[in-house]
Amino acid sequence: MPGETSSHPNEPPPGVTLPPSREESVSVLRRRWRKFKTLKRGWWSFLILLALYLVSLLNPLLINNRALVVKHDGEYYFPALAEWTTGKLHRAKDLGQRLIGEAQYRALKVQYEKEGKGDWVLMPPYPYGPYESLLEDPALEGPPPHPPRAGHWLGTDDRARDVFARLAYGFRISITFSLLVVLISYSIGVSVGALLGFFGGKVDFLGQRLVEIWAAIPFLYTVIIISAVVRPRLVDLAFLLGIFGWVGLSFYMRGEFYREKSKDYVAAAIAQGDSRLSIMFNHILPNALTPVISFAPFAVVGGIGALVGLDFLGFGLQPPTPSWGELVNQGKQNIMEWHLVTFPLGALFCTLMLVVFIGEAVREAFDPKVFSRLR
Amino acid sequence: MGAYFARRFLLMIPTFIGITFLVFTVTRFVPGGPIEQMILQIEMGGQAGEGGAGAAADATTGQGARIPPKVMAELEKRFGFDKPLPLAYLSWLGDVVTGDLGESYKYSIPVIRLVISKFPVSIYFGLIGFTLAYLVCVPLGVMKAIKHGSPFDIVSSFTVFIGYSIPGWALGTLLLVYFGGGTFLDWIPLGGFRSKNWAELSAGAKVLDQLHHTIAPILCYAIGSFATLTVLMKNSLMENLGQDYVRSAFAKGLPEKRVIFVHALRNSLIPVCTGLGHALGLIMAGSYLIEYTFNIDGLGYLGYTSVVERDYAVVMGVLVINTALVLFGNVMSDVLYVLVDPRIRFT
Amino acid sequence: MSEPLLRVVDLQTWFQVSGMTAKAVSGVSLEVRAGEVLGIVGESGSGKSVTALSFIRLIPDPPGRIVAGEVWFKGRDLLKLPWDEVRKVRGREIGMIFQEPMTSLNPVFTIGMQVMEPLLFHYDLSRDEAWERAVQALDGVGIPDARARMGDYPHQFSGGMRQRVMIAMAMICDPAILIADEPTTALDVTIQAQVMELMLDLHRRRDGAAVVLITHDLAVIAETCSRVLVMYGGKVQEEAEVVELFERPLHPYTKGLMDSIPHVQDKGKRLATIRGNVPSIFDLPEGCKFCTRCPVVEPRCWTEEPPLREVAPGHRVRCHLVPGTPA
Repeated sequence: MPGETSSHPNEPPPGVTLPPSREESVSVLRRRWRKFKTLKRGWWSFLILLALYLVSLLNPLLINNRALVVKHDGEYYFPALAEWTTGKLHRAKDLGQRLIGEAQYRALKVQYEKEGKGDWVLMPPYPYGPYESLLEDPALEGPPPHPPRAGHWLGTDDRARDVFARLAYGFRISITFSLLVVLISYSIGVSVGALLGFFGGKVDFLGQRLVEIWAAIPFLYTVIIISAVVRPRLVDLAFLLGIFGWVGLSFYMRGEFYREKSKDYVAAAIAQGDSRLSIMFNHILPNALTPVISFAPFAVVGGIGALVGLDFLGFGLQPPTPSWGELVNQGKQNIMEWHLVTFPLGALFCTLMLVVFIGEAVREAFDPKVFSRLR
Repeated sequence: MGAYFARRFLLMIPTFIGITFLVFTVTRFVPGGPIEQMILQIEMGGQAGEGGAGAAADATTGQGARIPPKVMAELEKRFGFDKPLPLAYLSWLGDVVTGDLGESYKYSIPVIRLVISKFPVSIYFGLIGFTLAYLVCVPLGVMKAIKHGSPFDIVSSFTVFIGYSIPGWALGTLLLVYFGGGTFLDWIPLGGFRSKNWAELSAGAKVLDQLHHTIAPILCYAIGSFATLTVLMKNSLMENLGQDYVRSAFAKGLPEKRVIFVHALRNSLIPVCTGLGHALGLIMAGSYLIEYTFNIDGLGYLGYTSVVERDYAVVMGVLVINTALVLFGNVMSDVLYVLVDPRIRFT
Repeated sequence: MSEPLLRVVDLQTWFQVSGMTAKAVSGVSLEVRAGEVLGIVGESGSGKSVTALSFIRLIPDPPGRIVAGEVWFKGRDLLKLPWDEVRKVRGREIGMIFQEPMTSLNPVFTIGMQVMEPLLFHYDLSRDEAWERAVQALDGVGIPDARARMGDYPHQFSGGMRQRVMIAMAMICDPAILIADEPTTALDVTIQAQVMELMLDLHRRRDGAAVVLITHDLAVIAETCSRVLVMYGGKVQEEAEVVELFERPLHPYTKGLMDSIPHVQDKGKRLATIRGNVPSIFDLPEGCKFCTRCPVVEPRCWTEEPPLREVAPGHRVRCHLVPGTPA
């Protein structure tokens, strides 16, 4: 209809109001975000997980065997902060403790209180660290691992390290790790899929064959082999999982690009003389990306599961990294120590559950399944 | 069609070469490789290999000097280290093509025999586990699709999500700790395929013993594919119920059961069936995590121990078999596609 | 006039979409008479398809629901029958052909199985008898070598051939009413005429049966129908015998539709269009549904919906501005 832009060319007479148009002009992403917020289970899971992660970033100030503040001889020391930010450790003798090496702050606290010279120590709320072996701790009797008790909420592991402290630090590592894996695999998957889908033709054909080859690699075994010989750090391992985890996504992205490419707005952009790259990034990518986002939480689940599983097998992060999987493996070696299996797996289960709930809500908001039922 | 599958098989060759070359290279250039392992074994009187990955590799550094050069050369020759990498790979590949995967230094038997001996156990658990998963998930997914939004759907979705949040091996360790005769109950064995005294048992006791060893691992196998399979089935059927041909079937006056269980279900089983092809590859390869958890002496556990013990011939052998199984699964899945979907004619 | 085959009274079919209600059909009454070809014409979104689907309750629920109305067929109100009884009417007494021949057949079953299926469920026939009848039906709609093609799958047929299969399937039980929902829209122009001709030919051979043809194409209506309903905004706006309607269109919307058909003698002139777009089905105006686009709109049209009045025998129209004998 040439020349017509308004859907209501006739103006209503004064006093008559048309029903307000209910089609909102907010962006698709905003609308989906709003929808996500209305899905209570997913939204609350998101808030809880976000809060836990943010708190866990402050772990060194909350769960640590190093003191927050030490006052000694009129001077103030901040050992936890110093270790966290600069890696600097305080020697015991500098703080008036008769020990070789680093100060033992829990003992220091007792010592200062006995001395009564006005020196004091402020410990973090949970005064045990994830790497610290408590073998010498007089409060713990018998050989490790120790079952849960007052002071050590979840007991200790086979090297007398506090399980709660290791779980808390392990949480931060698991989430960071899986976010990293998702970031890496998404970057690769989206780029590869976008390139194949956008260019099509020979690029697509050749690329598809290569992707098929890559997809046929028995990925877990290959990761185990490589991990066994290169001793990966967190970033290496995330990269290793990332480069094996993108294939499904690239197929999906390729399909999306093929579909979006044939739509009018891309033709319009080409007609305006936009360069190919800017078409890809400004026009197609935002549209093709939206459905892909709904897979992300499930990729996070996969990342966490893979890390804990590899740690369990002994091919994950290097000891003494605090790790859920390593604790479970200790428990598997000695099934009498129920706390070494129950608590880390409980933490794993709760974390995965929160992410799954988020995923369910994100999917519902981004890619709602239409249900129509004839009879 | 024949041409398609011929091409499919031809494509397997570069895939196979790519993967094995990658891993072959990695195993050559790293510390703790076969030579060091061998040296350690000679020096420690065959005690190596029990200390796990870390200990074994750490202990080997700088000890090569005590081995006589002659022995060293022999070792290098045996593992192909006397040749440049591409040649070493080619000669290895040549052996593989003729069915020779080398010899395990730990067990001193041909790798191929070792691998084949592990197949039955892996297949036993894998097959029962997957069958169980399909038997539960397909009807459950169908019910959920038909009763979408009902209390049944909501409650079962919740259950499915809980299952998705427990990896199979995690459930396995929990079962072992709580039911494996630790502090708590003693209902299930600590793993293994059968009891040690299997040979002495009567026929009935054999059946019971086998069941006793089967239940826990099978649960873990099944829970792994439980959520994805159920949701796949549900979404697939729901999507098909909204299709035009379903409306046509209703317009013909067919009963609801006929439309849902014949017209829509037949179509929605297509993705579920083709998944079976991939599953077949997985079934035969076993699961590293679950076999490790339950000490099941299958292919997955062999793969795990060979990496821990740096038994490279076996590592490469397991990789070759695994790759072949994945590729085989892909082709199987295509074959199933052709069988269940008349529209698909690969050309 | 004899009793109509099908009588619809005040049909209301609504859809619930994300908290909003779309009144796709709001108060449609009509009759389908024996032997006639009734055309229902309107733009997409006018409610014409939903009206026809509601006859046999083929409305997906959710999101749709037949809220009120009566559909009388052979002395029974189809909307009040139990589902099992409705299913006995579908396919056997009222057949249906859809717009999309590419997707309306089940891709994984053979043509033969799908065509004979209604027979097996509606009649006590053996598979062999049903098979023979299906072969005859396919032969009757002009499928070459019908017997051999019974075992073929839908993807082995062209679009036109598939629509022929659909026709054979819909008519195999010899229904009293055949509803054809845009049966040729998705086909090539050359095939369209063939398929339409086939449908009418089959219709003419049967005594007392009726066809309800739903289309957006007035030219098709002019060639094929005996009576026409013009729908807009979920309501019948005008109803007349086909000759009457084309010679004396009364509703401004009908006139607009007619003016937008190109004629050879008007070559070079600008084609008339109806201003604006169809309003969203969620935002229909309160008064006359056409007021937002009507060229002769008056203030009362915005607030007061005109009733459907009979202005001449068999000619009803819903417009304030049409003079005529008040009922």
